Amino acid sequence: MIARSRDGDPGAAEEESQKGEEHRPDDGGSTKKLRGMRRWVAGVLPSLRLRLVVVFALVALTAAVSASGIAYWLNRDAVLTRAQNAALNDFRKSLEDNAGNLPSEVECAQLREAADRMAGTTQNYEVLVTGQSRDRGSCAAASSEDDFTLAHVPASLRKAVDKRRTVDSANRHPYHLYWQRITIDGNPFLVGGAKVIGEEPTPTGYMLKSLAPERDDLNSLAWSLGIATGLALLGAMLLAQAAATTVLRPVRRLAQAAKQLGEGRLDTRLKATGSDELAELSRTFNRSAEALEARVAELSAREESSRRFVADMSHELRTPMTAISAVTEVLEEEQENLDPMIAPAVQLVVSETRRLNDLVENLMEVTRFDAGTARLVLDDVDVADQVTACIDARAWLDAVELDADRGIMARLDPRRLDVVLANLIGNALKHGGSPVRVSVRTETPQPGDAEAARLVGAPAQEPQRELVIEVADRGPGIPEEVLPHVFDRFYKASAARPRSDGSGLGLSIAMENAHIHGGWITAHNSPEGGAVFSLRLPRDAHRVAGGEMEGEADDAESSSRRRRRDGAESGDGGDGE
Amino acid sequence: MARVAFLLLIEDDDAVRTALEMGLTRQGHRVVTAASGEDGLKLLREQRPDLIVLDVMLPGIDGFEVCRRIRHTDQLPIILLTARSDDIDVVVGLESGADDYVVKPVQGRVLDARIRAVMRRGERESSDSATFGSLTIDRSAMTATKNGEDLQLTPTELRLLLELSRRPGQALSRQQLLRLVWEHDYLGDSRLVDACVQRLRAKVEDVPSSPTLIRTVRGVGYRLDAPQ
Repeated sequence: MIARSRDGDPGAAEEESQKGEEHRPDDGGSTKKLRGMRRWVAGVLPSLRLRLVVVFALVALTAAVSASGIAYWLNRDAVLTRAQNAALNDFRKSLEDNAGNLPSEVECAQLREAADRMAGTTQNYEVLVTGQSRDRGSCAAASSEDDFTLAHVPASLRKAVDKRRTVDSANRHPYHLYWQRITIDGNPFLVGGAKVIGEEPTPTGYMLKSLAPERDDLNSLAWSLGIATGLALLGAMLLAQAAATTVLRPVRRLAQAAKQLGEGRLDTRLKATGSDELAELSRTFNRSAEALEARVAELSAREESSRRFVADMSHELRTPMTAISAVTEVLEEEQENLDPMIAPAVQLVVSETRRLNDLVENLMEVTRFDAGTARLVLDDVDVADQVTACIDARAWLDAVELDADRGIMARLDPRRLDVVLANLIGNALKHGGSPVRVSVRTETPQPGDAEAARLVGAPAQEPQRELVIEVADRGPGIPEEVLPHVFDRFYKASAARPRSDGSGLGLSIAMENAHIHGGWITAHNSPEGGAVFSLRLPRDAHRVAGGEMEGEADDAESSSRRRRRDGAESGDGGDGE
Repeated sequence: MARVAFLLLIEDDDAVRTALEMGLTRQGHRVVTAASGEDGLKLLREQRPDLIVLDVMLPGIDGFEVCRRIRHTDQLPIILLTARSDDIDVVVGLESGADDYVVKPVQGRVLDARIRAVMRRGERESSDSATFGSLTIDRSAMTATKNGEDLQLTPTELRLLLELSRRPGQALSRQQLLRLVWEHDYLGDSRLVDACVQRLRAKVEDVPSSPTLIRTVRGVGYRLDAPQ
């Protein structure tokens, strides 16, 4: 097949590749199985400590059980063999001594006498002697008729004992001594038997020796080995526990440190002592944290410096801008008297200076928000008056339909409200075309409004009615993909919605101004068509934003002013009532 | 029509000084300029201008200090040139005795409007007087006396007192006062009113920290009452 595929048979190659693919699921299956097992282990033994203990215990158990087992079996063998050999040798000798000289035809009484004599040795076994009696045929005589009868001797043993073997150079005797271990009533016994060698028929002797003492010895040995195994297991588990503690303490410290690092405490370091793997891990952690801290510091320093650069730059631009602005006004007033060739140029300079002025103003405003130095100058105002004045000041009265009742009072920064309104209405006029509808009303914030709660920052406070100013245009609306970005800085939407004012900061500044009041702006498309911007502000910005802003006493002058002002106001409160 | 104002412009940046001088001269004012606070104070003593336009950022003694030193001896109107980014500047400037401020980059028209508004504050209009406890306001002489002693009030402070005294017992909002006294539009900075009220209280009240004449009406503004 390989040769065929070398020949360039595409079918074969395809077959190969198919085969290859057939194999893959198998591999996947095995890795999956492995992964499944790992998951199972992780599920059953969820903690590293438990796993360590289990592994230690398993190792200890295996070692102890195999050692005890080997020791037990060796001992058992030795003990049994020794007892057995002693008994059998003794039996053999005693048989020879007592039954060897019996005549081939004996009386049963003679056999019993021989059996009693044989049993009278130190080895303490029962003896049964069988022989051919002259009168009654075969006769069996035991040292103890109750404990040992021929029925106790297994038939196989009797057969082996009685079996006559041919005598040759390898086998010098026709009969041998045979033995077997048996159990009678649950007690172990050794039973052995031999035929006396001589002129047939010769008597056969059997012995029965109790192995109970050996069994008891072995049992007590097994018990001690079992206890030793148990102790070893316990010791291993304690050791595992200790090992787990020493291993896991640094691991826990590491986890704690990693958590702190994640929470932004980049100066978190571990104490790394020793030269083991965990110490190495701690050192690696420290190096990583150090590198991370350095990187973050570098990035924030870079960001800080670029912000400061923008702030300084816009600041620096202000002085020449002041000079230029003052002069352009002079130029503007002189326009009619100028050469018609030069007048358009002057006009361009004047209008572009104004744009540049706005841009610098906006830039400075943005840098103030970024640096957190923007402050509210609060006053109690009639919102309808403010909106009307804002529209009036920009000559938008004809293009705006105002739906606002006088008498809605709010405590806010009038200049910032004007910035927001001018941006929203200006934006609507530019992109939606007139007429733009502006409506002012108050609403109780919906309790479910998470963003409201977050921005107002006081869900526990009594619900304060909020001010809602909606600016709706009749234009084509905002494309869905642009909607999330309308408040981004310098976000250029499609050509259909160009930033004709050129600053690209207007809506972003409007949003920042709403935020500093503790309010926010949302944009959506109305079902009837056209974009709707909703400005929501708390009725009293002081309670929300002002309170926290005045909390930052960052310079002596402002705090002294506040003290004086507060003193004055509290004094007034006293005499007012 | 107001008479031609004689201005002292203290500004260290040559370009800004030249441009503003040019613009203000074109608006019909007579302008002398100084490049530092020390020069400005010297010119003030020599030339006795009607009004000072003062840059905050000056080499040597800064605008605030110049303002404070002028207030020791003189009650002439001072307009600060400041930057809105330095909100503290505005507050410190108003506390050191400035009557008004203009944010840089300055538009010549705005500055001119402010100058004219400040100049108008010193003009007399009616010829009656009003008394609030120990305080007597003589509208024909444009003076205020306390226990018979003349009070040293700046034109702005005097105008604020006049506007309040014209509606005794009636609370005036800060925005109303900004329109009446400073001739600012709807975006007037309420801190101007607060700072001026503080200065006025320091001069007319027996105990400035617990005023009995000019009282704060919480959520509205200020009112002038005869003490009970």
